[in-house]
Amino acid sequence: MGKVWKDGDIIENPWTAADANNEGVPSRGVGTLDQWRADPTLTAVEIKSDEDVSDLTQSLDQLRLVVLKIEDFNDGRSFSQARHLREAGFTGELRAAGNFLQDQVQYLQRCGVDAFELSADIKISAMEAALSEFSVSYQMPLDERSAEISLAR
Amino acid sequence: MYTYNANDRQLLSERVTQFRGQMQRYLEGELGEEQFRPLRLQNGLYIQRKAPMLRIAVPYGLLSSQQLRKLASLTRDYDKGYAHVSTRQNFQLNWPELERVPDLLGELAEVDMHCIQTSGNCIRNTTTDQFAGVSPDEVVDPRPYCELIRQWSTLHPEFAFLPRKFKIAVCGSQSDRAAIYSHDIGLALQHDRQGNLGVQVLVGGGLGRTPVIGSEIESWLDIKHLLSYLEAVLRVYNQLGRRDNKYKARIKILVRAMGVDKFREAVHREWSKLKDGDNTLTEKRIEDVRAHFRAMPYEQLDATAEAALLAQHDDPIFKNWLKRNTRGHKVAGYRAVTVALKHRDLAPGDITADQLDHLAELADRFSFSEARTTHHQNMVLADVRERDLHDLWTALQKANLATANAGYLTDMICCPGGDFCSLANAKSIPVSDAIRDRFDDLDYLYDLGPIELNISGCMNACGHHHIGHIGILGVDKKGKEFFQVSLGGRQAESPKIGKILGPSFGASEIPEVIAKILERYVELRQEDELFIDTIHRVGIEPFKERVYG
Ligand code: HEM
Ligand code: SF4
Repeated sequence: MGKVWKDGDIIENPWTAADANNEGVPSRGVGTLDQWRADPTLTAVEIKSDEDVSDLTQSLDQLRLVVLKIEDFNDGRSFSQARHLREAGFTGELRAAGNFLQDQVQYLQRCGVDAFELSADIKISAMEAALSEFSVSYQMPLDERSAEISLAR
Repeated sequence: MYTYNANDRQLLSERVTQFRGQMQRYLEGELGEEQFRPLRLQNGLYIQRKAPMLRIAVPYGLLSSQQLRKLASLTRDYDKGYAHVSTRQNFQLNWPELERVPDLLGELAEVDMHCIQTSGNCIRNTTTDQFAGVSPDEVVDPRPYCELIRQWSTLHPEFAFLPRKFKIAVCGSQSDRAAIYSHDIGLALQHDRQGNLGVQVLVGGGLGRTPVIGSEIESWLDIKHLLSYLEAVLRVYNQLGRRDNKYKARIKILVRAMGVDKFREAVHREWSKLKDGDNTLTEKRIEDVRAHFRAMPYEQLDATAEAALLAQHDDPIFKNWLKRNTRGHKVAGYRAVTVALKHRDLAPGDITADQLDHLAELADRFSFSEARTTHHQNMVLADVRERDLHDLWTALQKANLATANAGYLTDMICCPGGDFCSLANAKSIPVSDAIRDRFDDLDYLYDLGPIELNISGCMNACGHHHIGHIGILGVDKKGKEFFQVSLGGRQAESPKIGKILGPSFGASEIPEVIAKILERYVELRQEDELFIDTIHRVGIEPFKERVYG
């Protein structure tokens, strides 16, 4: 099942991971983008870096969880996907999973990610420290909290 | 220049702490090579042939004398007592020790300097005209806009892992001294008919393996949209740029594959969501940044009286230097001075610690304590009173900083090449040395007029050989070093990529090849026709015949 960091807590992942070979997606299961296309009532979807999130933005109200699956930490498309979803009004859980670095979690968070699937490579204490590595930022805020620390105005 | 506030400093110090931690994890084996790579690159740290190479950011080429002094001391304490000015206005150190880089960054931060995003697949240092703010042909001072871009792009959370590096250049003058057509994004500030400030946007220019001249995607965009528009371009590139082949990953390849019109459409789709949003520049925001770049406290001088003072000095060497290495200024009685880093004892663009200290002192004495780096690998003191020029020249001469060749053949651009760089096919510095030795007669160089000669040690084109009037490129043939020569490249005013003359040459043949090209030019030129204009009038055939005939 694995663990997830969410809003400061470590929780057991309540969702079953996406599996393209699944015939149907179980309840509390994450669907792949194709599975979601076949059954848009699914409430959790996994998006790979090379997939287009714009389809999802049609039915964001339905979705409770989007998992951004990062296969290679050098591939920065997930950052744009995250902002894309948040800007389109997605308010559910936006989770990063896969091969990301501790050094990227604050960037991901600032793009709108609010949960991280933990892997053996990442120490929880180090990750939490990394989330507050920078107390200031030049870019405009995505939410109120960062508004206070933004330099931009 | 822009002065840091508490928040800017906070960010730098947090960055140093972060990198110290990353370095420690790397040294302890917790971070592998692959993981550490993008992290160190975004802090300017390359692992090179002989030692690590560290690239220090000089935002749009502007430095204070205090920063120069710090650089001098860092090159002494952490390196071999010299630094190198790059074609993108940054400094490079060739010999720092890996383990000590965090300390070096800590010291840099003391003078508000850093290595953030000087390499890696992210938005790099924004560059501009070395004569920004002082040039008579200036339309708008580009520096405040460069600073706004610097802030926006620094640690931008969305764009730190792009398909490839991304370079932005800004031009605010009539003649383009920032090579905006060979950047991923080129911006030209201009007013519309009603006098509103806006910006022309070019995308997809670049050198490297596939040299491309940038295409216009907006002829004029209201300045308030600058950042939201850049954000839209970057987002399209981040999502659609190729990631399967690093040689095809630059935005130029994407723009070509999509076509400019389709690319523009994609940008507009993104932009429609971002336009008028948080990134919109308010007048106040622009004014706040502009306040950092107010005119210097110039004296009101009488131009004729100043000229008379200058005319007292009739030393011919001084007069040569005056003519070649100084240029007109917006303010009467002042000139901008090019400090040549092209002395025969050093590689083009190299500057020693003592010279850095010396320059700091001269900046304090003569130029409001500021200096600049240039795309041509020189430095500039931008605000010198004409009456001080002789004293300044005397002092520069003592420090070997007064080679009077700015803009002439031996004011070459040259990459570090095989002496330092592990990607090199050939050693470029010895070729530049040989050319300099062969053409050491300044009178001959002056007679030839302005010529740009650019040398790269491989097709990555760090020396901008494609856009040199004469371009020299190191190539590898069966493990041997050869050099390909091209003619007719041009950076400004209808930019062009040079044409390859023919089969390549051995290093030792190059000075003779250049000599033949120059001879042929002298035969062909009509009156005062410039080298580059002759080439464009007659084509490369006559030169080919002479060189290979
Ligand atoms: C010694 C270490 C260096 C290494 C390993 C290095 C590596 C590279 C590589 C791989 C590229 C091509 C990237 C691409 O096309 O995507 C490149 C481009 C470039 N380099 Fe360097 N470089 C070095 C030093 C320098 C120096 C000293 C300068 C300045 C004199 C410089 C200026 C540039 C510029 C301006 C480009 C841009 C060409 C373009 O826009 O495509 N580099 N460098
Ligand atoms: S052009 Fe090639 S040889 Fe020269 S510095 Fe760049 S990568 Fe190295």
